[in-house]
Amino acid sequence: MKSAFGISKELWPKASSLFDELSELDGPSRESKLRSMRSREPELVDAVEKLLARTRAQPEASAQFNRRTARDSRVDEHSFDAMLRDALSEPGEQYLAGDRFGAWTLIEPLGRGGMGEVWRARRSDGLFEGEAAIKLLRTDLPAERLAARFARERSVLARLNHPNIARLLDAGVGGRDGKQAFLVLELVEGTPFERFLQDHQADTRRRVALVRDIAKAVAYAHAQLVLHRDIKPSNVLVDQDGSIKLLDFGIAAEIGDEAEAQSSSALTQLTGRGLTLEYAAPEQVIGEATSTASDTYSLGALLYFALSGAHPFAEMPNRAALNRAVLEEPPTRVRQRVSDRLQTNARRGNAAYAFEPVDVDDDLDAIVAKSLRKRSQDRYPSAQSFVSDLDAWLLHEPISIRADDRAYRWRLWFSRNRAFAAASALAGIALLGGVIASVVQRNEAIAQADAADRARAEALRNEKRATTALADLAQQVNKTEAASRRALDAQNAAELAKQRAEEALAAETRAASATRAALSRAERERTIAEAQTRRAESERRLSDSTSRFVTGLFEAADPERALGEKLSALAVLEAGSKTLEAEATTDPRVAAAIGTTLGRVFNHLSRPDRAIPLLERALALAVAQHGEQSKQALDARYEYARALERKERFTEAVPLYRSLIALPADAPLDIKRRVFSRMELAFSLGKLGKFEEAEAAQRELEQAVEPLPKDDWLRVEAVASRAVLASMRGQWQETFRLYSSLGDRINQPPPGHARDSLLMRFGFATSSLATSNPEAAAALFPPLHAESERLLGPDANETLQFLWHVGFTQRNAWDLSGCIATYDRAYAGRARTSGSTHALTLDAGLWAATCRAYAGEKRAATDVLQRFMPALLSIADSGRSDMRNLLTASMLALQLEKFDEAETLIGALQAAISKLNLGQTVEAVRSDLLGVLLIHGKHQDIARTQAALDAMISKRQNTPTGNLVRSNFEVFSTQAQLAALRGDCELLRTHASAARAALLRRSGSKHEHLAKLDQSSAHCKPRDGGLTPAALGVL
Amino acid sequence: MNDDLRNRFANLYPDIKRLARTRLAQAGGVTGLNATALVHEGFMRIAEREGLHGETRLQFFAYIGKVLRSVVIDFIRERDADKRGSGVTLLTLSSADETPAAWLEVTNLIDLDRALDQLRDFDERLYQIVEMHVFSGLTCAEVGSELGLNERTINRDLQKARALLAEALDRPELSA
Repeated sequence: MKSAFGISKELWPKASSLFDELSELDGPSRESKLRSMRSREPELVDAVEKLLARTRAQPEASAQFNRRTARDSRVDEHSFDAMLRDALSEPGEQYLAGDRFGAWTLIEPLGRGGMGEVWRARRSDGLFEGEAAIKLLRTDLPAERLAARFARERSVLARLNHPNIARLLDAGVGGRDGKQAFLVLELVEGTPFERFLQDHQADTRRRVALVRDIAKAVAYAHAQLVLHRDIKPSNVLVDQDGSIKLLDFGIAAEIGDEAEAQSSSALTQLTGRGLTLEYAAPEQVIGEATSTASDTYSLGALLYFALSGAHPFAEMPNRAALNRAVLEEPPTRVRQRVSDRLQTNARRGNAAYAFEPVDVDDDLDAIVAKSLRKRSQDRYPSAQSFVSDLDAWLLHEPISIRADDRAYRWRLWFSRNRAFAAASALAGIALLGGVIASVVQRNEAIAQADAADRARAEALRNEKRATTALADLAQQVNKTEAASRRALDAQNAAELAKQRAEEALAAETRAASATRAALSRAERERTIAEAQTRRAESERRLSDSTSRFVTGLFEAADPERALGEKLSALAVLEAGSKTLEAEATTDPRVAAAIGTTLGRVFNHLSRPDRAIPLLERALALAVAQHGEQSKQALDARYEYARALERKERFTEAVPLYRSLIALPADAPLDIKRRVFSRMELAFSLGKLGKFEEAEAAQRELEQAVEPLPKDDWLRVEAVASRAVLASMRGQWQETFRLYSSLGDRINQPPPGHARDSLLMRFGFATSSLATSNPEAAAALFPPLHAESERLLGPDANETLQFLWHVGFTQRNAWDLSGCIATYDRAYAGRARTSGSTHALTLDAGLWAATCRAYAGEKRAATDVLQRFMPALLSIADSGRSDMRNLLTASMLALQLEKFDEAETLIGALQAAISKLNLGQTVEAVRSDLLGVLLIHGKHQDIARTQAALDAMISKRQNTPTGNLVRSNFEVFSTQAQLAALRGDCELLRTHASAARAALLRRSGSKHEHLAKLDQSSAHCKPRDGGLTPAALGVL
Repeated sequence: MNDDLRNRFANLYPDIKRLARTRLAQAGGVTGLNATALVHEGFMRIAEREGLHGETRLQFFAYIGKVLRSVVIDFIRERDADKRGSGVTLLTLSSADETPAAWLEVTNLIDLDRALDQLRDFDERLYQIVEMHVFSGLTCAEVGSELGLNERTINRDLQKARALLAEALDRPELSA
């Protein structure tokens, strides 16, 4: 039985192979083969002959086609391919007025574009009066994924509430098949940007102002962490009042396919992935990560268009050329473009162009060029900085980037003429200078030399800025996300420095009067700048993965100051942790990682209170996502323990450290953290007063570092740890000896341990203060503070701690104005980093007030005391620092004779001491003593005071603090003053000389109380009761 | 094709159509690319996404050919509702650069549709090759690598298929 193909199915396999065989043969051989087979298998031969005839006979139309190649660019309208194209270009669904999408009903079509159809629509449920525009999107994402994505992003986009941004009212998936993606936007009645420019003869200022308004709207959105990604003239409308509306915010990203970014084959590049190539930044064209700088590029292109009537690469003949040009070619400068067009217009009679170009001056030209740089880091860092320069231009003020633009152009020249530049450097400046001097006017040469000097100075300044930024960087020990932005700053600064240095080099090359020495200096600066650039670059790469998140943080924290000025780290972190808390949809692994990092940074900023909840959550997430023993979970546990320790929750920190120490050797916790866990354990145990257990932990620590080479830094750390333990037990001699034994090794930390080194120097300084000449020791603190300020930054916890000690030594040396200035500064720093009611902030404020009280500024000191009272008393779970603040405040209150306040404060103090179980510490002794002084202040009864003092001394007689009471300056001094009040001059002199010795040991010879003691001793008259309670405030 | 696979592909049907439309819309006025090649890359991604391998992958591309064919047929049906079968459609049956293009003139795509169904019964491999190459945009080389055959064989098979289809479309009894 024959089939539709003229041959039976049974015979076909045979026919098929015969066909194959015959197609290999030429005409005659084929004929003879067929002849020889015909008699045997006539049916087969007939069928195959017929088929072969069909392959030879080309239809007439196809014969024509064959003269071209199959890949001819013009596809005939009859081909299947062309039909498919036509079929697919038809709207997939026919929408009708009355169709419903979610709560919206279509009214009438407004237009159709590449993205889909736009309809006028009304909300069906009456929740929203008035009309909206609904976009029915074409997208190749499946409906479920789209719906999920819309749900995630809708709230973000809807948050954009700006007069110049068309609001997104709704988004979803619906329609008759329930799968049509739609967006509902504020219905804007306006003229498209391009038409507006055609219809209105706007001058340069008007056009710049329009683009400025667009950029302001973009800057606003950036602050809300939304990128536009598709800024172009057709997305801008101008309404009747002449104000602009920006459409389609953030939508490009929503309907794009994320997988697209990975596949950038020739085909996707050629089709441009639906992008508007004319306005897209290079990184968008090749599918790399976009940032705020991508939008800044598009804004620059838009400005280019507004001024010249053409986009930056208008001369490119086709899309492929355009694609390549966006990636590789510098655009024609807009000024050039405008003058080209004006000339052509004159020739052609203005027919060819959309609208008339306008004059562009140098500044505007530079602004446009800056925003169209290929590398995103060469552009304006934010839309806000673009806005600032446009504002400056509109106000006839200097713009920020003229010098930068010159340097950039010069750098381009330099890279194009590298061989020449190198040769001239080799040939030496004298030779080249001689040649040029003959053609260059002398005064021009002088001007060039000046310019070179200025550029060099600028380079130096920028280099300093880079150094500072890099030092800041070091502060963020473990390359936190925050470091990323600083690295960027450092890099920018270094980049700028490099440009300046290059500019200097160029100016010198041209200047006849420049010397070889100057050249080599510039070269040296350039080398330094380059090295810094490299360092900054590597830092940046390390944190690049999260830099987008971080950029967002900074923009969110303070969009107005995003131009390289320092943001408050705290503000940024607060923004970060809020974002983290608010976005429940963040990938839990990312949330765990970022939570751990933020927690670590909060730890560094002495904000364990903020670190603890973040780390609790991060730890739980890390355990759930990666497992209990994963690196992520262990790192989070370590940070968590550190936060608890810093919050002085030592009892909770101890078991965590123990668990980290007990991990098997192959657990993914690095050696440093293992060693530091032991160290922190020893420290925490010491703080709990469990000195024996602390000693055991310390010995384990020493064993752990034993195998390391003698000069290994961890061994230095282990010794320092022992020193810290000794200091906790009040063994200052031992502390001093241990630190001294480290010698110069303290000053040679490996990279990343500068902070530890500073802390050891600090430990050495404090132990010197306790054991040797206090005046010599006091001299150690100011340089320590200065170095820390340089290395870790002025607001770093350590810097402020060192500053506190500067104040402390000034206080002891009775340098009251120094003391006030220092503590005021410390107070400002603490308030900036930790907030105005943080314990450390209050502490600095209280000491400033105490020095003011000493200096006689009682009114100011009282104000501070009263202002601080609520914060001092409201501490719910008080730690040691809170207790110490109560102590300082109590002393201050007594000093100021504010006995009611003093009574309240001392009560709170004693409660805190007993709650913290600190009965056997020097603070407890002081607290007791304050109680005694309060009794004296309130009752003015010498006998009663003496009795209280005696009771206190006898109470402590056989306790660990007995010795303390017996050698304490305050006790001696109080005894002496009481003796003075009673007129017992003999006893006064005994106690006074003991007090004097104690004070000399502690504070050196300048303390005013020494004089006071001497004075009392000298002027003591029997039964002379003339001293006031205030005179007792010698603490 | 078993029922599971058929269901699975049926689920992909809207994706395939949407992707094809979108790609074409995005390409805008780009010339020099044929529509099938343009959408082809997206199909490769769907195949990756769905984890299609081996035989299933082949059937998937054949299925796409069928979907796109039906898109065109529906389009023509609607467009030519009043003059059914009057248009002439040319199918490119080879796009290998070194061989001359072979064309098949088809006056009635609906007949072609039927002829292809018959071809599947008749010689499954030829049918697959036609679907993959003509209708889902794989080049001869890609079809060859999917099937483990060299390009020359694919070209010859396409010639054979063209001859068979031309024969079938020429026979009056076909439409009966």
